[in-house]
Amino acid sequence: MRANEERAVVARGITKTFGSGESPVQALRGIDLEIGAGSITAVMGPSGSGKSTLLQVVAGLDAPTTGQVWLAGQEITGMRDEQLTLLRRERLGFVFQAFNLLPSLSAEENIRLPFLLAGGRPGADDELWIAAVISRLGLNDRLTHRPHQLSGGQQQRVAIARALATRPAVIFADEPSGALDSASGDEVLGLLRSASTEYGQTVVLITHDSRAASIADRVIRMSDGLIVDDFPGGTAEQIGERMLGVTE
Amino acid sequence: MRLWALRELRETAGRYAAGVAVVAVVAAFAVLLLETIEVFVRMLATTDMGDAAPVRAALTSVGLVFLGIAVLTAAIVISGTFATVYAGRRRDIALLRLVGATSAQVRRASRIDGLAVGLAGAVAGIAAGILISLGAIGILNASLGIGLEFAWTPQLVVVPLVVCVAVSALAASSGAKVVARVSPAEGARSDGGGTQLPAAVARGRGIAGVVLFVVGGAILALGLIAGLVSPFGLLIAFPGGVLSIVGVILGASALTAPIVAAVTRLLRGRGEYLLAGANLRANAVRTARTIVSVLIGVTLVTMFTVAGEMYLAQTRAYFGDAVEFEAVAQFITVMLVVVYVLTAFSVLVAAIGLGSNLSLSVLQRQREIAVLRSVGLTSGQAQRMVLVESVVVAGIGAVLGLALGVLYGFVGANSTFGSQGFSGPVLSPWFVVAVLGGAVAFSVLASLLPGRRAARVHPAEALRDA
Repeated sequence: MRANEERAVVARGITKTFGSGESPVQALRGIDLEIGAGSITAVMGPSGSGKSTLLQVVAGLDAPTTGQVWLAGQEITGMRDEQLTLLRRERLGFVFQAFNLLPSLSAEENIRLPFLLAGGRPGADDELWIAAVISRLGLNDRLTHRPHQLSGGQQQRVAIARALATRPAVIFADEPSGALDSASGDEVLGLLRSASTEYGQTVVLITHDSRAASIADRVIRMSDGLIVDDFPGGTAEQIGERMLGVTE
Repeated sequence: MRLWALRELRETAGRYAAGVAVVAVVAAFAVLLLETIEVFVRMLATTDMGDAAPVRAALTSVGLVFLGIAVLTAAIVISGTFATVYAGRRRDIALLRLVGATSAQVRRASRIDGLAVGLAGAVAGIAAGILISLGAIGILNASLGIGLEFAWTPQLVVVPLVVCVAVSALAASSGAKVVARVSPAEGARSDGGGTQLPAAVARGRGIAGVVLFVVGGAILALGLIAGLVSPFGLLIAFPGGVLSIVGVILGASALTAPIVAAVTRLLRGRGEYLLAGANLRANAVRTARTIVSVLIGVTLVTMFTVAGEMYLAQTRAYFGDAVEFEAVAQFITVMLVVVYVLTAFSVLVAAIGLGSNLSLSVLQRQREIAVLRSVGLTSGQAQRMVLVESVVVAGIGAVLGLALGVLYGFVGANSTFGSQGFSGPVLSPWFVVAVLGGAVAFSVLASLLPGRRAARVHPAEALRDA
């Protein structure tokens, strides 16, 4: 079990085909991937490279056409929708590019959403953790605000707080800084970096931006549904250069 | 703009389905009403029982009142549908405004949508009305051995067509009014602001609603007092009733928001209940619109039932249990059945309104529901969330409708028969149980399809770009 725990995400022989008949689109063409716990992995690639499809498949949002996926040591391929939903609720966190939050709920309710969905109250231990996350992300003054009363950067901070609230095995972040100005974007990326450094949080970051990828410990490059490069992270410039090298 | 309106209409035809259905029901109702009157009057003319003209006039004016009620209900439902559809298209409209469309053009586009919906509904409804008339005449002839003939008149097509097209075009442009004020700047923004009215508009409507309700209420009281001396008190009370119900509809969100807030605070214990409550509170305008469609149906049925029961009670007091009473009671009961049949069309229209509002609200929350699914809302919870929203809204609408219906029935009965003795409202507990039970049963039914749609929203949709 220990060995599995150290690998937050394991994918074997993943393919994903959309549509059928005369012109099926093969979005993923055989992916093998292991992502270690406690680090940030950036999955990069231009649009159409399959990185978003890979995220959907490894995060249990969509089933692969063939292959197997394990999350935190549990095989998720073949799970029933209900089981998969509960797994997402309890073990995974999500930060999307935009429209992360429920407009009808306050910031605090949004942060507590996974617990709210479970119907119970968080335990004393969870309450301490939630309070710590809220103050670490500087959201104490914003708790009663509704999303439309918050700036884009503040909304993303609420989304990160929600993702951290359940102490998930993995946080999946899809272009989390994509819709933000560069200062708020850097702040959001910095917070994800701190979550990994301070709490040992595993993060899988999907991005096309080498600046965003510079917070990662490891960078995976995708192209045409395949992994074409896999290297330890670096500065934005180093990553950008390596990306260009592969393309040429 | 015209092209945009037509193309949008084609692509989002499903969202207007309820509008078309409502118009069709009204058109079919109009055809059936006119045809029944025509057939009856022609039959009367052949039997030589006297002059048919006054009978035709009397039947036509009664028919027009019920057609008017159905048309008013339809106008409310259609303008609600359009307001909701246009609210969902805020961003598109803002983009059009950004590239130079004027607010007047946006409203003209919505009138084109309205015309198309009116036309489609009217044609379908007229055809259905004529077919049903033919069928009914055939069945009557076969079973009773009489020789009724289908009475063709041009009004059969002209009246429903004109009424339906005019009402839906008007309702569409009033429904789109608020959204036509969307500022071009919103095109560049991306928030899920919901369907809130601008505060000033909401306050204005709230005040207008209260004023109309108070003025209407005063006129109702006047009619009630006048009814103590003359049966023509109803003529005073009637416009008061119309004014006050328009007031309720205008001020609906101001009226229902505190009630919705109080009721939904009781929803606890399960995540989906909390979410349903938060949705209803956050979209106060949409919630109010849905409540109004239930409220109107229940108000109509309750009003006629209360007035009918009161009249029965009064007649019993007058005649005692004599044989004459039996005859009069039978007549009143037959009249009530006729009234119920006539009201049924309006109730059907209101019911379609509830279903369509629910579907539209799920359609517009697709992305929100996808986010919820991704962070752990199960598909069963999504379905129950919609169910709870439906039941709460229908329950509130039914209770308010009962209260208003008792008021109108009480005033209506006393302003007509009050000179024979003032009487209090009569409301059988069975009727209350039936209305509440019916509202709950229907709201459960109405939530099935939208609920299934919510349950099927794919969590991966949360990842798609806006």
